[in-house]
Amino acid sequence: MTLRRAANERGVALPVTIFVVTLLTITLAASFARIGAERSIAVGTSDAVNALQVAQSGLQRYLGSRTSRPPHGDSVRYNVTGGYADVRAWIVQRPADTTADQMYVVRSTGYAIVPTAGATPQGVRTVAQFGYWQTTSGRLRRVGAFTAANGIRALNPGGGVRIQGVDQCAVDPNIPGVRGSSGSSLNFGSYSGSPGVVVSGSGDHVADTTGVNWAAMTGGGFVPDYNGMQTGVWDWGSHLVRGNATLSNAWGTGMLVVTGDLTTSGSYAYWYGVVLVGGQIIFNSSHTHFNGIVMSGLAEQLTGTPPPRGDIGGVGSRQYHIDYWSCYVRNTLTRMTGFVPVRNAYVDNWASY
Amino acid sequence: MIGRSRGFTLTELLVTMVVMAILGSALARILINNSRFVSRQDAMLSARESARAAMNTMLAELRGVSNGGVIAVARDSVRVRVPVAFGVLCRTVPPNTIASLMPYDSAMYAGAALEGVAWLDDLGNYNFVTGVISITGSSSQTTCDQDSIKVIPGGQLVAISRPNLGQPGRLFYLYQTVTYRFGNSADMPGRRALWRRAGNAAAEEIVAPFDTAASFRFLLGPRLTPSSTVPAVLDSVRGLQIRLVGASDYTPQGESRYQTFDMTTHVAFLNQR
Repeated sequence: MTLRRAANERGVALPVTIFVVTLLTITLAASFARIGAERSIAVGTSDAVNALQVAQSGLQRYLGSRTSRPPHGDSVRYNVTGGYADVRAWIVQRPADTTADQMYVVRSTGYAIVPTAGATPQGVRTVAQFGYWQTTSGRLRRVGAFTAANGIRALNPGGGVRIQGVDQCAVDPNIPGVRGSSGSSLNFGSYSGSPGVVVSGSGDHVADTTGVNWAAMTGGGFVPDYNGMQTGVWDWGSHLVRGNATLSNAWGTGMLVVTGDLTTSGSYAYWYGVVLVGGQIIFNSSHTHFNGIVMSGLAEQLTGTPPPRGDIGGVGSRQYHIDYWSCYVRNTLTRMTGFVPVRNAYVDNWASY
Repeated sequence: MIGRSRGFTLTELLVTMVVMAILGSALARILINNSRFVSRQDAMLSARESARAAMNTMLAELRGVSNGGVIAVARDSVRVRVPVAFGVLCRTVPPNTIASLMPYDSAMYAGAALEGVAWLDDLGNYNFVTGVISITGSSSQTTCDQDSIKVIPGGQLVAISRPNLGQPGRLFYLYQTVTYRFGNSADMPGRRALWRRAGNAAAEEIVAPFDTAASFRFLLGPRLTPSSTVPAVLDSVRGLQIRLVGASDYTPQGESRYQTFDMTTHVAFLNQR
């Protein structure tokens, strides 16, 4: 018996296989193409975000690293993780008063670099920040070792009261020991300087002569190193206390800004540098030593009404010493020299070209 | 004998049919599953694109909002003042104020309907002067020179059609109001869309479709605490938590609901501190 294979009995396995494979291939290719497009969109978004981070990183590094006033058009490139940032700074306002702060705008363009994609930036983003080059030493006028815009009264006995405008660092010219507003009475205690005591003018006039912009300092224009008083640290930092503060059995350095009243208490209270107080200073410590300069009653700039007049002395066994040390003042102000960003002045839509 | 060998027995046919049915059923199931998978993935991509496109559009404008820049908020909409260009004020030369304008995004500037000026005071707060303004080029450099205010490279000297905006040296920005709202789509009836309205112009549908869960929450206070309650004091809003629930254009094969992509992002206002 011989079985014959008819021509039309070849089967359909191969065509069916080819059809199925082709169908699957087309389906998969379409999926990959769609996923590839999605991936490229995601990568593009990621690169844009990276470029923004690089730009912000460059901006912060620039603002935080300048130790001397940059020239108009200063340009620096920072290599940071994920790319590099080109930073430029321009002077926007240069007051005729050379001691006044100059306004800058600092622009940072971030370039996101993906090493595997070559040197061509994968994303570019530009941001900017307005800021002042702060030269506090120029603005803060040393009109007295102790300037009391709210007035000061020395109580009897005043044996422990000593206020000196004579520079204990022997570097700068001597200043008045006390600069008080009208009504101040300093009949007890020891005062020296050039001259020892100056009492004249209204409280707001005295507050204005200090050069301190109390509204800006307490309204957010002053960015301190410490929110609150940090004692026992020899770093000449800046401290901002909102409300009243008490310095008790402690010492500190730098600029102490108290928006309310400052009370000294305990067996000792020492401060080295600059003390700015919105209200009055209440001297209660057995040994109160301020080495640098001290100002009180500055809140009068805001209200026009002087805070309560301060008293000093009254207890013979206590020491109240305020001595002018120009080197401590300089250390404090030098620490504060640099860029201070203008609050709420960040620009996110600067031209990138 | 040849004639007897042409056919198959009934048993052979039945076995063959059963085997073919099993194979066909399996193949069909594979193809259907594959097709549904592709359809679902495609729908997911579509939903994700909606969410991402919306995020990219809104972030650029919302980040620059300052204090006083939030005009109205609700769970499904926000209305804010968006900075278009920054600058420094010089003096008034009636009826204009001369100013040094910083370089700006020309595309954004060209498409903006300026509705006012906000100038920055000593305390870091913006003061708003509302109303339509016009900006023209100025050649009055001497006005700015009086206060030592410069025009930087790429910037320009301009005249703002409002006098006495603020003291010389104050920072300012020109703004337009922008409203973002999740509402019914016009392009895709029955679906929700993100709408953008600049000033008093007609609202534009910018991205669709979205799920009904898409909404705004509010970041309040210095810690940016999320809240669903509309705050009484708008200045306490320091950012937005935006829940972008993108939906697919179509219902994936074999499913009864649209595919969704749920993305929540925080936008902190950088100039409200």
